[in-house]
Amino acid sequence: MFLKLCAYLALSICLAGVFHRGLRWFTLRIGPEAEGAGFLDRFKAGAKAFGAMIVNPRRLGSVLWTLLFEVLLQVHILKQNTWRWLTHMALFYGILLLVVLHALDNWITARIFSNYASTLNPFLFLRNLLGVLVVFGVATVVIRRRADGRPRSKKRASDRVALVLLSLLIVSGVVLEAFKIVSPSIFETMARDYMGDDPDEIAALKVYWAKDFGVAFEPPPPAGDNDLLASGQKLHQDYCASCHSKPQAAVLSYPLARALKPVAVRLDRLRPDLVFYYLHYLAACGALALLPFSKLFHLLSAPLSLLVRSGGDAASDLPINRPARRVLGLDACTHCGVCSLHCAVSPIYRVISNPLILPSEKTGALAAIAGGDISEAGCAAFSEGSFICTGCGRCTRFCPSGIDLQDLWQASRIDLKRTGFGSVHDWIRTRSAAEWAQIARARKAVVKPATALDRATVSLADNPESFSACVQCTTCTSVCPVVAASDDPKRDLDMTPQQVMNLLRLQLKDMALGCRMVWDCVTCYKCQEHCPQGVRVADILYELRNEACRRFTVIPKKGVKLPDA
Amino acid sequence: MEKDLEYITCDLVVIGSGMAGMAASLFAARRRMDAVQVGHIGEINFASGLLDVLGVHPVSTGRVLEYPWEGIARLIEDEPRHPYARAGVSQTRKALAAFIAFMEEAGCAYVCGRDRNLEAITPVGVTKPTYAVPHTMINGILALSESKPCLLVDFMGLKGFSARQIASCLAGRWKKLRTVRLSFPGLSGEVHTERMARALEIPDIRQELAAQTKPYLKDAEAVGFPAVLGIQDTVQVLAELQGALSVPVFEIPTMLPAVTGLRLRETFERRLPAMGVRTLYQKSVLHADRLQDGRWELEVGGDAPEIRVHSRAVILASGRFMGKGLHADRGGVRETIFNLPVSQPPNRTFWHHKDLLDPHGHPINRAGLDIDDRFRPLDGREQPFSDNLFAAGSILAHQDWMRQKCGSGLAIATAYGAVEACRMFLG
Amino acid sequence: MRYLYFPGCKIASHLPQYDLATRSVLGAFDISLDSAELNCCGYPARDLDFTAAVFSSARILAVAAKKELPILCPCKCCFGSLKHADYWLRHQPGLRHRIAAMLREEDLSWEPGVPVRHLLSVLVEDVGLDRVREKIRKPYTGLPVAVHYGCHALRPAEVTRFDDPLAPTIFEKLVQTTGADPVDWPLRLDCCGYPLWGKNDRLSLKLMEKKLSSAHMAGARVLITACTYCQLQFDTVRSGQETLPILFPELPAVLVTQFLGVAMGQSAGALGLERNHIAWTASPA
Repeated sequence: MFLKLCAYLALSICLAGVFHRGLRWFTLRIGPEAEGAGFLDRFKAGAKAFGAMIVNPRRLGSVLWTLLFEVLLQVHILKQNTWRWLTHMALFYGILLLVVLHALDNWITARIFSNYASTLNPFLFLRNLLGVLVVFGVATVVIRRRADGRPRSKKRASDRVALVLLSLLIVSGVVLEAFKIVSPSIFETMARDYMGDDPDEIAALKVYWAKDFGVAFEPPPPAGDNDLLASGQKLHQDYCASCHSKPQAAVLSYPLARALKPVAVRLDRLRPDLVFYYLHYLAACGALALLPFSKLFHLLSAPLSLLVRSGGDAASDLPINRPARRVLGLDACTHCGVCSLHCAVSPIYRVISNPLILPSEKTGALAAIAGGDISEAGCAAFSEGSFICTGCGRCTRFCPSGIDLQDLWQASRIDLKRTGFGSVHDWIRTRSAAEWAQIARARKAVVKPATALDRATVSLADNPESFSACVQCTTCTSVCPVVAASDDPKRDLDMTPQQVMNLLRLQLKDMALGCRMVWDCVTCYKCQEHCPQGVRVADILYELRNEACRRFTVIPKKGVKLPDA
Repeated sequence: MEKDLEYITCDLVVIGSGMAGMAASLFAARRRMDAVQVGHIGEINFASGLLDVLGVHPVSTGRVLEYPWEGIARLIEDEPRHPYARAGVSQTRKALAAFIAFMEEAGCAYVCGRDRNLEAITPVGVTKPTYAVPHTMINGILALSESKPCLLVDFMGLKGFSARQIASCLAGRWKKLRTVRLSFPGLSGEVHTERMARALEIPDIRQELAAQTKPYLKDAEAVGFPAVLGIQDTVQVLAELQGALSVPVFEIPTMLPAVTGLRLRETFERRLPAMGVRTLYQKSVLHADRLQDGRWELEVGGDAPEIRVHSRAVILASGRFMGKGLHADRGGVRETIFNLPVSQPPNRTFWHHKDLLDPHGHPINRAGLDIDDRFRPLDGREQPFSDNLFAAGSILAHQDWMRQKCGSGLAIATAYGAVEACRMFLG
Repeated sequence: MRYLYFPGCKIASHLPQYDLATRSVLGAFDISLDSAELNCCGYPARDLDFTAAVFSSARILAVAAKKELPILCPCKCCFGSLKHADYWLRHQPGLRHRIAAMLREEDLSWEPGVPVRHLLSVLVEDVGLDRVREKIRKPYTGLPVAVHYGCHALRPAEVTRFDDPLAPTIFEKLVQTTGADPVDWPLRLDCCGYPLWGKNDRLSLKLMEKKLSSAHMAGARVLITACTYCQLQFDTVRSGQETLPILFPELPAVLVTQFLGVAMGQSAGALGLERNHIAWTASPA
């Protein structure tokens, strides 16, 4: 009764959670589209587009193709990596079939097969085989994650819990079955229920079951009496065989049962079968309840995402539908890290160590931003990562869940710019050079002292030799195309290149950091090439930008709100 | 694995891309010598465009010369080790004439005083003696000498050029000199000469400038501008402005950054390759060695050798301290490529006189390479260091080109002499 | 001739026609291009952190060293970035030490001397102008064109060693083999402005406009680029501005391998011409 209540509760939570997640697709926004559109409008537009995709006979073909080849056969994963495909297929089919054929056996399996009994072959064997698949899948994932040099990704708490629950589910299932195999009290109960109270019959059956079915009895029944064994076997045929196949078919549980045999009778008093039954059932309920709140949700969202992708990419969507595709995409992320494995800027992560450079980490942060659940520092870190991304598109090509990551990054960059978390080139212009100079001077005390590693780089702006040869001939200014593009360099750029060099000579580097010349430099290197004194003007301007990025963090304009939930 | 060193052979390598280096390459090309020129384009950007032959002698009295050639003759007598003594008056005249003819051909005509120095106007307002000026400046010199009523124009935001300052310096002798400050068409704030010069190559801008200037003309018989009247199109720009204003128009050199040097540089950059000189600009000679057969092997490159050059002769015109031909430190002055002995004061304490503006100048300014009559640097024992190494230009010792006002003449004449000597050597 | 092909980040997703045309043209000269999944050269991150940019490029140099292949870059920014990394690694022992430690974690190491070649150098120097000329089937006979050098391969010459930074001729020499006539235009060595795109769009477009105006005034009918960024600027960005009509639409921008390929008789489809936003119909002058 209690368990049934738990089951219904878990189901309710699960459904409510799924509903909540689904709702978010039409309430949250990423990107500039659908501004001002309400939930109902967005939902109607989304449903219409999705419906049109399913109903359209031409589209239906590609939908079915996607269902078969991407959702069921996952050919797009096979094309990338055979091991990854094998692992995922094992996990996918292992878990899916266990849910459908074992957890829901009363509703599904029993209705299809009239002779269904969980202890009967092929069901007994298959159930164990599916368990083997899941164990194989999990083990392979763990080994490969360590071995393939994937940039280390932080596990989310909900994912950890999901993994624990899953493991508990499998382990408890195996242990439960093992105990059920060896338990003498269960034998007694089952014998009385299905055969009768006749002590001779029970004794004969005991002998047979002790020998062939691995039950532990204390004291063990007499061996060597072939007549008793034969009558036990006959009794088994009459009363048990229709539901019980030999337990050796339980390839996972039976070996455990045999190992447990010596202590089985003693433990029997504690009713381990009940204990583990509860554990198993509650673990299942837990996983069900947790489904919409962890990566387990990808069971629903990933196929949906793949289906949506089969109808076209974000560019082909009506603008009002694009945010829905994006939020769905974030929900379909399993944090598998394949995108980061192929990310073109992952070497930069190895130097700068901001995890939000990596696409697999950005999805989580972006979900938090969209939900309005992130700190300023988090936004700043996400911004830094976002603007390092070069838009090469590889993450999108490799994502097993079919998420249009490229579109997510482009859309989120627009949001970042609008909320004051744009790139350094955006926010550096929100204050004047003089203001930045003040900030720089105030923050000097906070800057960490240079370590040996920091010194292992090139330092021009702090080294007088770099610009001591400057004679202020203004050749660099004359050849600069940015200066030439301005009608009033002082108004537009604050300082011209040779004036920036002069600031350095006067040890006023802090004043140079915020000059617009430094940030409008187009890096064409004409200044450095034409300098008659060999001053590395362009390299120095680069260094000033590097220093500004190190010393200043994004300070958004006052009164700026983060995107609405 | 990296590209192998490129390999070039030639008759002559000219090291240096200043006045002397450019002139030497020019003369070598004219003599159909197979020449390669190596150098960093830099200092020539600072040229004023004026060609000084000899403006002051003796330096100690500061006496301004009216007749440069006679001046040189006297200079040679007074200072027999001066590079002009090696060149001689007649060779110097030939050299200058050849140089000016080349500039004329290239579209940058010069006007020279022939036997007399011209009195050129400088941006600070004093005048200086010079031998030849770009054609764009001659009308100013004439206006000054005849004290014609004149309008001087300067521009808002142009640093280092004040028409009022020039006028007030010259007020004593040039009465009817008026000034006006205009806003350069289309620009505001700080303006730069190259930007303005390129802008004036556009007809619309010229017309606007003329229109802006016209109301201030009144009785002026000439109009002077800072030197921004075009880069390569100076003839066109000048002609159009004169047409629109109906009076002679002239330029006055500006402080740096100045387009006058840029004009020289671009002229050479375009012409020399077309004349057959192989140019290796923005590179240095990193290493020099003598081969068995007497030829020079030079490794040329940026930060690492890129090209190996085998040459029958070398002309060293690498300049002084700015040009990096000479290097000075606490230990002394050395020549940076061949490590040639440098004629210099015995030690640092003798480099400078106590008085910064000592009329004699300072001994360090006269340091440099000693040469023989064939422009070959000496080895410290009065013998030529090598029979196929020549030197020209400001790297030479016993001259003070800034105070003597003989920079261009010295560069061109010694370049000419070195090329002639080299030709004789090559046979 | 074999090269490690390094197309950079932008070509696959934003300018696939450059890949198509380059492979098509190089294929005609029996050049084989090895592919590998390579990271970003680090140029876009140079503003943020010097070491990150150098490490990114160093990794590519190390991969090429391991494969014992020279690198071929169609993009000039990638080319320049690799050259800068090589330069600083040669000159800064501290930096070299740190980068070597990071590379070791992947069983890679940087050695000086890995040849880094831009597409133009490969065509002009490795293949040779004579061989290129031999393959020309449909010469342009005097078509006035403006070759756009851009910046990052030319300067700083001390680092890139690509051509004379003040008077380069490599691009003109290549184009002349097709019979086209490269014009002399004042701003030919200036920057296209793309590095500022996304940072200061107004200024980026202004620089682009000045370049186009200069080429147009010089009488050019086509602008030829040899860099991903430059082509993106003169084609994609130029035609993608909602509030700005296409500047000088009679002066389309075309990639060097597209231009060459047409002269070599290759099909427009093989060269990806239909993907150019501003159409160019190759017809002789």
